[in-house]
Amino acid sequence: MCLAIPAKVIALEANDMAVVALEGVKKRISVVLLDEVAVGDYVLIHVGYALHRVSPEEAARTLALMAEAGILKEELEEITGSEA
Amino acid sequence: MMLEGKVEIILGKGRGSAVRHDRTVNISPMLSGRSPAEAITCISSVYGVCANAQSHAAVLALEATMGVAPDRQTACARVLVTSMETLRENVLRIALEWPRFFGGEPEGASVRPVIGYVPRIRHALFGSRNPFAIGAGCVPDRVAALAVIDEAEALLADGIFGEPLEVWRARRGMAGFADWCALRRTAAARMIANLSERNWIHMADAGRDAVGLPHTGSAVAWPRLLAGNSRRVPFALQDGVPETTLFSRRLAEGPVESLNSSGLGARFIARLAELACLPAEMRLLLDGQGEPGTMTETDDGTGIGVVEAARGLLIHTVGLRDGRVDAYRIVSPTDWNFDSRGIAARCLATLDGHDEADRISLAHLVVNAIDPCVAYQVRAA
Repeated sequence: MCLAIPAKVIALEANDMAVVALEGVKKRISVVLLDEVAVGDYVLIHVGYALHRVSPEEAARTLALMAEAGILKEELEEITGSEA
Repeated sequence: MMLEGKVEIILGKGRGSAVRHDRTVNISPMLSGRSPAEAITCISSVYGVCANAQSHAAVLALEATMGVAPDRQTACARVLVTSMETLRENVLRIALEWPRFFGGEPEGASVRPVIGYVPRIRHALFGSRNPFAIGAGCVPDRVAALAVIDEAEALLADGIFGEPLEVWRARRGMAGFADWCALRRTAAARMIANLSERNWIHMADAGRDAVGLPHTGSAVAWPRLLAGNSRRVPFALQDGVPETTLFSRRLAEGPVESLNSSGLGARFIARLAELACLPAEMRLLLDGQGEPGTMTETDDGTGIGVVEAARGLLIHTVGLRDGRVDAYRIVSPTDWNFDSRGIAARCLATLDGHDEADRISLAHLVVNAIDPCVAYQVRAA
């Protein structure tokens, strides 16, 4: 029942790590759970792991709903606070 | 971050503790005025991790208030999809988080295939259809579905239990787990072994007096309990707010029951028992022999959907006006378990008098044993 937030992969790193970006915030995450991830993919991230790939349209829709529900800002603050 | 808010555990100096659950987000305004189909899409998008369980509870509640009843095969197939999501989430939480409790590293690579099981079982049972659309009907490919369940069982046997599931399920009492712990083949075995070595198996035992909510099939109880009741936790018992955890769900399973305890060891064994039981239960559902175990009932026009989700009972209620959502409510496991009179508070209250460092470590274990997904913070007053 946890929230997962979509973000765009902007760089791939060694050891199944990647850097994602969302609204100007960058975060280093693990992509160990996904078979293939490419720069430009959108992934759902949860507690530091990419869980699924989503389409750009799905990502945009989810972010809009999160903003409408008033939870996007809080999520971004969490990401900024933990690692940038 | 969770839509149902954050939990704060405050440990008093030497003794005393408090559980604060700050529920900051009300999803009802976001859904108000939307069509049933739009509401399900919204819920699925926002609850990205447990999207299937949330969509499942949503469609049950909406179909109930719309007078739509899925056939038994579809009802079973939906439960099967949600069960696979439960399997995935518990595998991930065990592989990624349990090693950290005792200085190990997450074991994500070994469980990577689990990510693909939910989309595969959805496709095997529903093709390209959405299982949780209003009036959805399943088109099961039994061979394909069985293949996914078989793969899931093999992953559990190899990556979580280190032995066949039926062997693990036959273990009784801590003596029965001794050789499994000693071999330390998996993160799960090391977790239980570490708890045992620190004499923490029976820690945080709050007893069983207030355990358990009515099950999902309790068509009589839930409408009565929820009717006209808008409190976050619909009801409490004399001994506190009932819990809805994998421990209360699997209390009667041999490995859990044989421990005769409600302590940390029994709670973590219950989380494993959930995984050990799921493949066989999913095969029964596939054969139409299992109990769908979900319920939809209307009470004064309100639809109720109750689903066994990855960490406890999930309840959605909905009322429609002119075919659109008028009022929507979600009662999550966190609402029950992290109430100030809930099971977490009762477990934490048993830790008074322990060494401060141990109390903090034990508090983290209590939270993880009860709810591996909750966003929380432990701090000393």
